[in-house]
Amino acid sequence: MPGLPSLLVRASARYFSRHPWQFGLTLLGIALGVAVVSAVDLASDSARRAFTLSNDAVLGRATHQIVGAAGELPEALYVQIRARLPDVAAAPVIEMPVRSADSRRLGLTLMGIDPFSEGDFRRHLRGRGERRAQAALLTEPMAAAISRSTATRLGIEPGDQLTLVVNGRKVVLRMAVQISPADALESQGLENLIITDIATAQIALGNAGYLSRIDLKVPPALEPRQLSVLASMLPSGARLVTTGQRTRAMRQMTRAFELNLFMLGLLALVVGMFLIFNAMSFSVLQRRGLLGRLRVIGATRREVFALIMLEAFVLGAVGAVLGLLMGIVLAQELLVLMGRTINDLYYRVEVTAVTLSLPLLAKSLFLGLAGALLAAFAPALEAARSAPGVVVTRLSIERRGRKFLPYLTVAGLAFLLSSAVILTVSGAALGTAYLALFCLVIGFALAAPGATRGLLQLLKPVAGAAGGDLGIIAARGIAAHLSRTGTAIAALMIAIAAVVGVAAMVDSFRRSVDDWLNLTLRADLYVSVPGEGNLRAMDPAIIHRVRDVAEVQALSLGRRLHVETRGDPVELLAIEMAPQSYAGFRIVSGDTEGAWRAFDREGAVLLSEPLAFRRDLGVGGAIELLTAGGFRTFPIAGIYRDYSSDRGVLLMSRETFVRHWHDPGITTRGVYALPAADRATLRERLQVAAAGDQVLVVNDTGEIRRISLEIFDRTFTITHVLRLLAVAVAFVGVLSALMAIQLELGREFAVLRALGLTRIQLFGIAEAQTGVLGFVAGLLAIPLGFLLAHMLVTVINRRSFGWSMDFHLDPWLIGQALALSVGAALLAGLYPAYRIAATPPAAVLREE
Amino acid sequence: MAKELIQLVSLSKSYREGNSRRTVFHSLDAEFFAGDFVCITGRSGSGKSTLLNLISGIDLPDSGEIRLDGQDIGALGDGERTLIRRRKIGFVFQFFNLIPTLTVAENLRLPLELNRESAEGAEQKIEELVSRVGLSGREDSYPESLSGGEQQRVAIARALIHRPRIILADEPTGNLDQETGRDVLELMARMVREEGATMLMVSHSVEAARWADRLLRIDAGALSPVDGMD
Repeated sequence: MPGLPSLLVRASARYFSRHPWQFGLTLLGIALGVAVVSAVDLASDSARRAFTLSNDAVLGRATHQIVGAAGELPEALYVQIRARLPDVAAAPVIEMPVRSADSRRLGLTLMGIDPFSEGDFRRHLRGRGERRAQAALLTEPMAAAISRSTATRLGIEPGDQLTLVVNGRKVVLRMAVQISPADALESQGLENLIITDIATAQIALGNAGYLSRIDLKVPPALEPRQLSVLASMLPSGARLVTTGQRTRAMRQMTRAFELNLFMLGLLALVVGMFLIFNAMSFSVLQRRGLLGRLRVIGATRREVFALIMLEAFVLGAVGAVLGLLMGIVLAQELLVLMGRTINDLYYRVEVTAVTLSLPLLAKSLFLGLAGALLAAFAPALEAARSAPGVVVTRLSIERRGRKFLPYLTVAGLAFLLSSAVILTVSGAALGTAYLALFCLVIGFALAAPGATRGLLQLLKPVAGAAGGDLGIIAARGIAAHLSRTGTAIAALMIAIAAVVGVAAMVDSFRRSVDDWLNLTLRADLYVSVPGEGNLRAMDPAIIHRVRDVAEVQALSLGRRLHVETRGDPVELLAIEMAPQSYAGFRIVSGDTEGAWRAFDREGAVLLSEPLAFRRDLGVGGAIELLTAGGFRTFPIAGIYRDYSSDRGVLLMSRETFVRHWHDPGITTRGVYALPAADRATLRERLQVAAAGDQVLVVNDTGEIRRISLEIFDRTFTITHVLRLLAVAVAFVGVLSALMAIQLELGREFAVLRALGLTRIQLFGIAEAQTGVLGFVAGLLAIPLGFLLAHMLVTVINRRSFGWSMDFHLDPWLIGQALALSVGAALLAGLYPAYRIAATPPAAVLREE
Repeated sequence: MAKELIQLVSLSKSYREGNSRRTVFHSLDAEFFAGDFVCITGRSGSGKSTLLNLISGIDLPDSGEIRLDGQDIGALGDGERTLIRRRKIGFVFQFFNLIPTLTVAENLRLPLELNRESAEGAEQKIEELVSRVGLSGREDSYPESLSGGEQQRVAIARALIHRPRIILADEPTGNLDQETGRDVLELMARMVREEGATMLMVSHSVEAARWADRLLRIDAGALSPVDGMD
């Protein structure tokens, strides 16, 4: 640092080299905080990049797309476009999620193309063998082109057969062409893509004469005229969209999910900042004599301040770099969990490796550095303010700290108040909700030392009764060194509160989902087309056979598909209710009876909570949908609770749907058994009735419930990992604080030893102190955890996804939090306690 | 007659002790001249160290003036007082107060660096002073490896290296045995006189008084000469 005498810097560097524990733990604290933030960031970014690459691979250089109302377009439209608009490049595409038929059931995307139209859009087949590859796809029966890495994953080689499950049917393709991507990026884009000729894809889908979409490349100069011609050619229900709209809509799906993960990562960094504050303030306290001497010799306040900030800068920089390295490793693990969730909940993406992004690495470095400097600011100010001299006693610092305590508590209360104010005035904004959450956390952290003092007053008689004089020494030790213990307690409190808060949120969510599943899954068995698209309807003959099974009392029929709106497409569930089905929907807004009446008789629709939230729609409003006859407005009769999709679902009566879309297809059906019917027999009969060319699956309610909850638990695995990391950071914080106290109180412990205390007794005092510290942190974490949970359930989740859920706090969770807090503290205290007990008192007394 | 280097004018200082205040000085007047070697004695708590702290600008008086070269340092801000201390004052403490993470040579170089003195001249000065305090060859040793007497020699060298006009010594032999203390006093007195600096030394030691030109006692907040010395 310019102007700072190099000897001051050297003295400071040697101080840390003589205290490797302190140095190492501070670095570890910063590194862990940065690691968690950067890992979440890198994993999210890698997933986004993988999505962009695969999106680019399937979209190519298209500027526009024509999409159908139910995801289908007549093939004839493509021929008409080529004939009427020769200047517009067009390519027919069939795109469908499929799975491998082997036990791994790998998720793949089947893409049917016209090899001769592709040149303007995608060049997957380019290279020396382009013509041969085109010919193979066109002429060989059921030929497919697959990239080398995808083939390796599937365990096949050129010439081998590949069996897929497409819309519930088994389809056998042959790998006729091996695609050789030009580079690693293209290779990643081609991951899990199976390319066939259009005709082969139509056979595979059992959908002759139809396309998923038509990709277009409209020259900008001709755009207005040609777009108007194109618009005039569209069949009813079809829509012309720009490719940017599709990409944006896909990307927005995961935004809230990523933001939530990032905020959890940030929480770990905040806990890490407490560690830095703790370490820096301790280093200042420990060097109070030295700093006083420097001031006597002539070092100015500015120089002392700059010295401490420089130390923080170096610690922050080294810690952040270490954190980045750890973050890259951690990101690889998180990526697996994150990819699983994105595939479970959002879209198909194959993401295998972390992509390092310089701006993201720089952001994490900046966060680590800024965190370190921010945390060191107060200790540096304290160091600069210290009067020159050599007799600044620890007692005087504690006295000053005690004087400062009421101000700290008032500041904490002010933060709590601001949190409430921000929440009240911020409407539905998610960012401000997080700001309120952080104000809550900071408020509790600032008030923690004051609260600790109060709690210790209450605990003193208990400590005395439990451990006699030694118990009182242990309890008093924490209160007497509040300048050290206060921050450790605050850090541990935040981490434990995060555990309580997130666990209570997940628990509330899980219970709500479980209740919802119990409510919704009213039928005894469900028959559906397997696969994710589910756009293809069931064979009508099967539906008749199922209806005729003797044990069947009633059926509910459903058609699930995506339809276009004026904005992004929406998932529509057209349903013909069985009498029992109505009770499966919990209307949370709107009059229940009136809503169903309007739904059945007046063509009104019901919206799931997330859909109503995302589009800011409510009962009494209306939504425009692209029907087979163009855009039509549908009144909204009610909002219902639904956790099946965070993008939302629109519920419409099947009668209304068929009237406007002329599509009688069924994709799912709920089967209600006669009361006396045996479920196993019914299932067998349904399986027989459903057998045929199209593979259908029959699931009972319990299976669907189990699978749904499995997906739910998988989704939150990453959350569990992140909050455990926050606890790990806090653990390092407690360990570092205890090591500091041990160094600080070496003389007091030596005197106790000299007075006749045994090593075991000293070890007991030190461990009792850490136990009390953990207990106090645990007690303080309960109200904070409760408020965090409440905020996550009623505000953050609501503003992220639009879901409402019933808040539930398991009393066991409180016990677990206390046990975790005390356990972590005791564990962290083991080594410092051992050091205290093992250090020969004579050595310490002589040093002093 | 030599010119006054340090003037204390109507100096008052008190401290809060619980709910009451303890007065250390009340309207104290004193003068110290350039080249003076003054030893100040007094009972524990009489205000000897407080006097040195006030003169060095570490502490501030409740009222009155402390003039160094005619400039009232009480009217200056902390930064300016620090600069005066850095340039004009050298300290020797009872507990040596060397910087433990710096070697002997580095401890001596620190005041020079703080005064932004050039590195070339510094090495020569360090070498010369280390030799004068009898520690040649120990330049790279850390304070913890030196004996008490050796540490105090380093402290004396550090106090003198930037050629301050005033040396303030607070019980410089208080932590040393009698013989080592005598050696240290002799060294300090000789070097301070060679440098022509003004020395204010607080000490209980009778031995220390022998080296001083003037012996003053602080009692009940007043400075008075001890018979037979002044």
